[in-house]
This record gives sequence, structure tokens and C-alpha cells, in this order.
Amino acid sequence: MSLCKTRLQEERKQWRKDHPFGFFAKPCKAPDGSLDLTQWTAGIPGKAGTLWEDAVYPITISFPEEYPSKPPKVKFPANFYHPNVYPSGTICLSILNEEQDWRPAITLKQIVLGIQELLDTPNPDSPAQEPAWKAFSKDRTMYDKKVKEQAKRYVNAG
Amino acid sequence: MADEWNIDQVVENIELLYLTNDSDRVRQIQSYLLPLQKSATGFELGQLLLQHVSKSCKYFGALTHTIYINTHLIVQVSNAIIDDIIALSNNIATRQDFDSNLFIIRKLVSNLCLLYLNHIDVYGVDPITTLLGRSRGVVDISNFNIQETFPTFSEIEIALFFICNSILIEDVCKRDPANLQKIHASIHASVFPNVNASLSYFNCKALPNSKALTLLILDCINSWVIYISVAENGSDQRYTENDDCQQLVTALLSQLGIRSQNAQELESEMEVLNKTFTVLTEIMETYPRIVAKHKQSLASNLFAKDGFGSLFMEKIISSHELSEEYSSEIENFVNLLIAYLNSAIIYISRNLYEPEVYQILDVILGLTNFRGNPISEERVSEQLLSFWEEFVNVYIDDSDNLETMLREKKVFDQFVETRNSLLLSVSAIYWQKIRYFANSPPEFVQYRLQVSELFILLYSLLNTSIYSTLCKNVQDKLIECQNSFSRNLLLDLEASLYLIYKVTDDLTFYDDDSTKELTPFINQFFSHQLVETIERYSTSDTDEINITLLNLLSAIPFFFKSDLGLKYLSPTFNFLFSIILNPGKRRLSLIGSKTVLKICQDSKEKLVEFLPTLELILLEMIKNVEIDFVIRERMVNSFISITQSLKDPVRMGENIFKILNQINLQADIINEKIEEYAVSLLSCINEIGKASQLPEDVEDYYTAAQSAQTDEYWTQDPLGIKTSILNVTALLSLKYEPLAQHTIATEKSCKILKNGLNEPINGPFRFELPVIFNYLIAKINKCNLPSIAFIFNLIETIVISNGAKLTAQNMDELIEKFFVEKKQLFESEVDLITTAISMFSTILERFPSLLVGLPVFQSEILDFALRGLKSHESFLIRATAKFWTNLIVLKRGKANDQEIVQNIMIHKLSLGSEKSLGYTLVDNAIVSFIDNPRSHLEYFYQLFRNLIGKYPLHFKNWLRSILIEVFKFRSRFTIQYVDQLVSKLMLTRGHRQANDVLKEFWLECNNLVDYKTV
Repeated sequence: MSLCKTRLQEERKQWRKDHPFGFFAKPCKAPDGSLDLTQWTAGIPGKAGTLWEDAVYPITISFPEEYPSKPPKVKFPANFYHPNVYPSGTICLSILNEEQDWRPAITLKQIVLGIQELLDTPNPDSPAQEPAWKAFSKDRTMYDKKVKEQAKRYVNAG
Repeated sequence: MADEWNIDQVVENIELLYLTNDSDRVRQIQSYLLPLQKSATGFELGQLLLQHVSKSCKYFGALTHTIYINTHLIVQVSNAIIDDIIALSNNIATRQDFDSNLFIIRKLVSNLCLLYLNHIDVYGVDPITTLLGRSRGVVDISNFNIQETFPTFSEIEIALFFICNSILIEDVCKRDPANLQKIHASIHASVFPNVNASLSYFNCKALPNSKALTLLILDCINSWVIYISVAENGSDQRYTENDDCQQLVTALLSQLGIRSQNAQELESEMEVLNKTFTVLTEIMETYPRIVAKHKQSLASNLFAKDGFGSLFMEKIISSHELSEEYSSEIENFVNLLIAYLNSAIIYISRNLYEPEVYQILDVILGLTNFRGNPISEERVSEQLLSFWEEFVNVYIDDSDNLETMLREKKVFDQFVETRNSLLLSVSAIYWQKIRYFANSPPEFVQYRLQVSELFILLYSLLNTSIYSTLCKNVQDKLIECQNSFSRNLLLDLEASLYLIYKVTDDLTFYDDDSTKELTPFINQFFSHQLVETIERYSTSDTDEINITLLNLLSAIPFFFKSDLGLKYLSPTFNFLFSIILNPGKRRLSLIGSKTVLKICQDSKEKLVEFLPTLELILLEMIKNVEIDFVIRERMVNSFISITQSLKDPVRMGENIFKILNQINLQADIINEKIEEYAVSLLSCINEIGKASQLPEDVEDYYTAAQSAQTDEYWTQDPLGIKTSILNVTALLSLKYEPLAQHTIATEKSCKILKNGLNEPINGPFRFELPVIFNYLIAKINKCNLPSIAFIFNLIETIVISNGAKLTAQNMDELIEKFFVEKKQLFESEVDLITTAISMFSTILERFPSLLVGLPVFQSEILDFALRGLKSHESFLIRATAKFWTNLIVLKRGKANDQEIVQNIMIHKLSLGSEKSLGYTLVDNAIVSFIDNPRSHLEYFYQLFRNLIGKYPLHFKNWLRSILIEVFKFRSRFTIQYVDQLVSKLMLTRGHRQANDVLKEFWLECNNLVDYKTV
């Protein structure tokens, strides 16, 4: 079995054993009905007491064959409103960047927690989309309004 | 001077250091003490402190030694230091208060180990032997044999022996794993045999009576287990069974021997037992090979009726009082059981008939059904969830092997029956466990989720049998409710519906086809008035069941589409609307509206008969200022989606007209207090547009006749809907002053106009381009600055979708109105520069003929874009680099366009300069490239590569001359360097290698290194 598959099986096992409160993550099924461990869908709950609370934001996680040497690609839905999310939904986060802070030891749990943290603490030095970045830097009232509206659309249904 | 200190002053500072909470003071003291510790007299200071009566000073003395050892190369004096440390260790160790001085002793021992590990080549004997030998006055340590002397050790010596062992190997584990070969070899050869022999001694003679000593020994065993795993991974040392690792396990197992049937005595042993549980679990999880020989014995200890486990469960776990008091110990005990079970899971899963396996599973089932509410009163059932999941997974993964093993069909069927019966028992326990209870903590939601995941797994094994059981249960509970309602019944109902929802949701997520077989089961409870019963009995404190029902409803559109399910849409919608219209339940309303939207989008064809009801509700919602805007917008989308499914333009026109009419009426009453509501009205129009959009393959959606009829209807637009849309949009976003300056209002109105741009046939939102431009011209003259980005973005979309309909003259007029007349605005705001350059860039990419021939392009736009290169702002630099790349490449340019651009690049002089535009472009680009941060380099690569590819000779000359000029004051970059760089770059012919050459150049210019190569 490839290193990628072995590691992903371990990640799945660890996740089922212990994952942070309010999050979910599960591998998708391949067309033949078997589990495709390289494609996951997951949900990131907004932290309580922030603009992002009361909602669970969906992400997809695609693991390349070179994983864990290379990081997975993590995406919100297209046009997700956040300064560090590209219009395609791809998340710009240093721990997900091979040339920055990605390390093979980073776990799925650390990734989703990192994304949760990013939601309310965007990195203004890594803008990925103009509308949210501009509003975050220059018009905080509008930014807050937009984030809250988005949270309503992803309201946590339990 | 760091070498000069006064011991009294040092002592005073140390005492203060351990007393104060003031972080500034702490920093101040540390900056005074640290130089002393690091100084040449640091060791002397450490010794003095160790002789001080205060424990803080003593510990600080030991710490000072650590710092000294780490700071100075002290191989030559190491023996003297060892003697000193031993002397000090002995001094403390002979005191009666050994335990209270343990933290100082540990630090001193750690120093000893540090010296040994730092200078292993110098030492012939390990530090443990040295310490214990010297403490007995042995002069020639090589003659000292721990194994022979051990039986004569005092309790303190035994303690020191095990402490030293733990510290030494833990310190090794903390070190960089490279270059540890010698250390591992030395430990394997001389340290491990001693610890093994000492444990063997105890295993024969029983562990000492002292609880503290036993705990130290167990700690030491734990450290060894972790160390062995590290050493085997990082070296060629092997701790095979021949090395008698068995002594470690035997010592542990001996702790699980039954010494008494008395609960009180078990309690008195609890600390030792707890440690034993955790160490054994650590072994089972990290190094199970060590336990292999003892597995049978461990199983008996844990699960046999007369074993330790049974006693522990009977005396501690079964006692309500004690189980609360020892919850952490019970958790560790269960972890040990799980670790054992996981190591034997294949055997257990294949041998369900074996009495010993039956006994094990019986114990585990009993523990799963631990009394009390999960999370708030017990956590055992949660711990065991992971085991049951693993257990089910084994059957899923191992199904082929099982079939091969149990060849006879009868035997196999019997086995499956037993297995299924066991799993149904497990499911029954968890089914009960997930019932909501009073004051259930937030973590209980997570517990329920985990249980639902187990049920999803169980479904893949048990298939519809478990699903039908759940559905039957719902049906029974509904009947019971109708006969005699109780809150408990509602909670039972909720638990079953929750599991049905989760399993169904998972099935629909993965595979739509498999859901068909579920329809009859779902029908089973819908036919017993599921929705009506819940609606009747739910109260203000039963939100959980409403949420669960809402979730279930959104997961079963396949059911509503079926003939069986269709008839339940009416009560379902009544329920949904009652939820949505309840203003006191914001979260429920939002979930409810999401459910409605989902059902409407998935089953719109089946919902036509609900249009009149929906219309009434929707019109009320548009009027009602208090309704959440997200809900209002979702309902508009739902209503129009259903109408659209009729494929009848007349009905579509009528329904849109009604909504627009209502919005129009509401627009008259808006005021500053309800600004958000006013924006929501604009959003509603946008939702009409979104829901009216035709699918991509319109030929498959409409017949030719329908398509023609629709196109004709909207061309005629008998109800004047297009005009109405424009009028209401203009009224809210232009004429109503507060919203005219509102960015979101502009964004929404631009979205409204964007909706029909890609429509293949005429529709309610397909406007003539001049109509859109007229609105935009009016809008740009009456809006705030951030709104301009949305206006330009819309123009960009128009170019992309309808560029072929535009002429250069159109473009000239647009640029005049939107850019030239507003030029001052654009120059003031970096975001607006980006917006404008992005738009021009898109035109160059898609329809360059619309732009390159215009006088304004040469007179204004090029110069504007040249200035954009001077920025360091990410979006602007990216947009500008793309603009110039598109201009150079001119992918969709005709011959005439190419000629114009070439002429511009080579012959046109840039504004206020005697150089060609190409020269100025390269000049600005290269200066900007050097100055921009590393993360922006990517944006420039394509620009330079295309310049090399398209204008090789000119680029070469421009670049050479520019670089010589740029570097004239930087002697490091000689003309030879420039020539070399230019040649290297030209050799790439604009291919990918150019990126590397450019990056190398950027690194050199900025005196940086490539982090990938260091």
C-alpha cells in the first residue's frame, strides 16, 4: 500500500478516535462504491463568540498522491467570503502551502483547527480575493455584515 | 562583570524569582542571573547554591549546573564535576526527606546523564552504575556490578536506580534522532541488562511494599517501552524476546493479581493500578510485540469471571459512588480493555462461538450499557464507540475472508445471524443512549454524531434490517403518542428520527440510487402522521425534535418525488411554513427555510399545486419587515424555481409580476430605519433572476416549440416586467438617496443586471446592452467609491459574455463616460486602479480590437497601466502584470491589432519620455520586480517570458541598457554580470527556465537566499 494510503487510513482512524467538537470529516465514495480516502468532505464550525458562530462551513479536502510529502488542497465552496480564500474556494493558509509551513506530520485535526482559526483571524498579508480583503481592510462594517449573512446561509442544523 | 557575584545577593534574587508574579520583575531577575550561570564561575556558584538550606536555591544550583554544562566544553573537568554532583546527590539522598527533595535529585541526575550523553566517548561506564558505585565508595567503577549488588540496595538506592534509568532514556528520546547510534548501543549493552535483572529479581521476590517505589518502577517501565520503540526505529539495536523484555510485562501483570476481594483494599491500591493500566495500554498501543507471550494471561486477568477485571468491575465500576470517584481510573481501565480488544480484534470477530470470546463480548456489552447519561454521567460508552466501529469495520473489510473460511452456506448464515444479533444489541444500547435528557451538555451533540456514524457503518453490514427497525420504531411511537402522549415518547421518537436522518443523509451523499429502497420504510411512518403528530405535540422546549424533523425532511427529496411520498408534501409544507413564520425561533426558521429551498429545488415539478399557498405566504413575507432577509430571499427563489418548472412563460410572467408588484409597493414605504429591508428587496429581485436562469443545455430542457414560445413571450414582454425590474432596481439603488451611496445595494443591482447576460434565449432578465449601460452611467455618477468596483465588474462580464455585440465606438464612449471623465477618482484610490486595469485587461484578452485602436488607449490607458507597475499592492501588481502580458500576447488579436501593438511597443514614445513604450515598460517592470516581495514574483514571470518570446532583440537591448543604468551605483553588478544575466535569460527563449533565472536574479539583488536550497 502506498505511503499516502497508509497515512490516510491512519488519519481516518485517528479522526474517528478523537476529533474536535462540532467538526465533521468523512472520505467520499469512489464510483465503484469503495471509499476514496483521497477525497474528503468536512465541516468547520465557526468559533463561538465570533462573527462566524452558529454555522458549519463545508470544505472539501483533496489529498495528492505525494501526500504527506505534499499538503492536501482544501476548498470552501466557490465564492466563499473570506480574505484568504480564492474565488475558486481554495484556502490560502501557510500550513497548507508546501513552500511555507506544511510539514508531513501535520494531521487532519490540525488542518481543520487551523482553518477554523483562520476564519476569524484572517491574514491581511495574504489576500486571496479582493472583495473580502478590501472590506476587511477598509470597511469593517460591511465585512461584518457580509460574514454574518454568510453564516446564516450555513446555519448549523445539528 | 558576570564572574563577580555576591552569594547573598544571588540567593535573594532566586527567592524573589520563585515568589513574584510580576513578569517584568521575573525578566529582570533572569537577565541578572543567567550571565552568572553561564560565566566561568557558574559551576562554583551552582555548588554553593546546592549547599544552601533553601530548596529553591538548591534546585537553582542544579539548574545552574545544567546551564554551565551546556555552555562550556568541559570534557577535561567532567570527572571532577561527576564527583561533585555525586557528592551533592548523596548529600541530599541521605537525608530523610528524600521524596521532598526528589525534584532536585532529578535535576542533578539529569545533569549527570547530560554529561554522559554529550561525551559518551569519554566514559567507559554508564552514569547509573557510576552514580550507584561511587555512592557506595567504589573507587574502580569498572569492578562494580549492579546486578550482583542489587539485592543489597537500600530503598533509596533502588529509587535512585529507577529514577536514573527513567531520566537517562527519556533524555535520549528528547535528543535529535540522528547520531544516536553509539548511545543506543551503549544503553542496550550496559543499561538495559541491569534494569532487566532488577525487574527479574522483583518478579521472583514480588515488588517492594512501598507504594512510592512501585510507582517509580512502573514509571520506569513506561519510559523503557517508549525508549525501546525510539531505539528500534532509530538504530540497529533490537530488544527481541530473547532480551527478556518479558520482565517488563511480568512486573506489570503482577500488579493485576488479585490480592484481596475487598473494595477498600482495591481503593488503597488504586494509584498503582491506575499506573499499571496506563503503562499496559501504552505497551499494547506502541509495542504490542512485547505482550505477545502474555496475551492469554492478560485476557484472563481482564475478562475471566474470576480475574482482576471482573473484580474491578464488580467492586468499583458497579458501585455508583465509587465509579464517580474513580472515573479517571475507570477510563484508563477501559482504555486498556480497548487496547487489548484492538490487538485481538480479528480473532474475536472470527470466533464469536468461542466461550472465551463470548465472555469478552459479554463484558464489553455490559460496559457499553454503563448506567447513566452519556457525557454528563458516564464516558465509558463513548470510549467503547471507537472499538465497536473498528469491530464493524473488520466485518466490512474481512467479508471475503470470512466467506472463504466458513465455506458451508449453513455455517456462514448461522455465523452472520449471531454476528447480526450481537450488533443489533450494540445498536439498541446506543439508540437508547442518544436520547436527549435534561440539561444535556453541548458535547452530547458530538456523542450523538459519533453514534450516528456507528449506525451508518452498521447499515452497510445490516442493510435495511436496521433501517426498517428504526422506521418501525418511529411508527410504533407515533401510534403510542396518538393514544397517550408523553414527553419521553417524543424523545424516543427524536432519537429514532435522528438516526434515520443521519443514515439517509449519508446514503444520499454517496449514492442516490440506493435511496429508492428506503422509500417504503419512510412511508411507514409518514403514513402514521409523522409531521402532524410532531407539529401537534412539540412545544417551545422541544426544538430538538423540530430540528431533527427539518433535517430529515431536507434529506428525503427522493421520497417526496416518489408516488408514495407525494401526498405528504402538503402537511410537510404546512409544518415548514409554521416553523418559518415563527419569529421567535430564528435558528429554526433559518433551517426551515433551507429545507423548503432544498425540497423546492429538488422536487420543483411535484410542487406546482403549492404555488397558490406559497404565493400567499411569500407576498406576506415581502410585506413583513421583521422576516429574516435570508428566509425571504430563499422563499422567492423557491417560488420562482417551482414556477420555472412549469415551462410556461405566461405563468412565469404572471408570478414574477406579482412579486415585483409587491416589491414595488414596499419600495414606497422604505425609510432609513429599515435600510437592510430595502437591500433585501433588491436581493429578492436578484433571487428572481437567479431562479429564472435556464439550465446550460437549454435544448434538452425545452422543446423547440417551448423555446420559441418563451423567446417570443419575453421579446413581447406583455406585462412590462423588464421595465418593472429596471424601475424598481433604479428606484431602490438610485433614486432612494441612502441606498444610492450603499455598496451592497450597488452590488445587488449589478447582480440583477448580470443574471440574463448569458441566457441563450430571451428571458425576464435579458436586457438590451444600452439599457444596462444607461443604468450604469447613471449609477457611476451617483454612488460611493467602493461601488465602482461592482460597476466595472459588470462591464467586464458584459465584455466576456456579449463582447461580440460591442463595437470599438461603443467602447470608446464607455471609456469616456466610465474612465476618462472619472480619471481623478481612479488616480486617488489604489483599489479603483486595480478595478480599471482588470477591466482593460479582460478586454485585451477577449476582444482586443475593441481597445487597441482607440486613441484613448494610447493617450490615457497605457500610461495609466505603466504607473500601475510601480505599486507593491498584490492585487494591483497582479492585474497590471496581466494587462501587459495580455497586450503583448494579444491572443485574440487580428493582424491589424498585432501591427498596432507592435508599433506601440517599438516606436511609440511613452508620455514625457524619449524612450519607446517597450523600453519604459521593461524599465518599470524590472524596477518593480526587484522591489516587490517574493510572493509577487510569480506575477512578473509571464510578462518577462512573453517579452522575450515576442520581442527578443528589442527586449535584449532594452534590458541590457536598463540594467546597466539601474546598477550604475552597485559595483557588485558589473557590466559582465549584466551581459551574463541577459544572455542566460535570452537562452531560455521565454520558456519556463526563465522563471529560475529571474528568481536567482531577484535573490541576488535583494541579498537573499532560496529557502528551498538551504
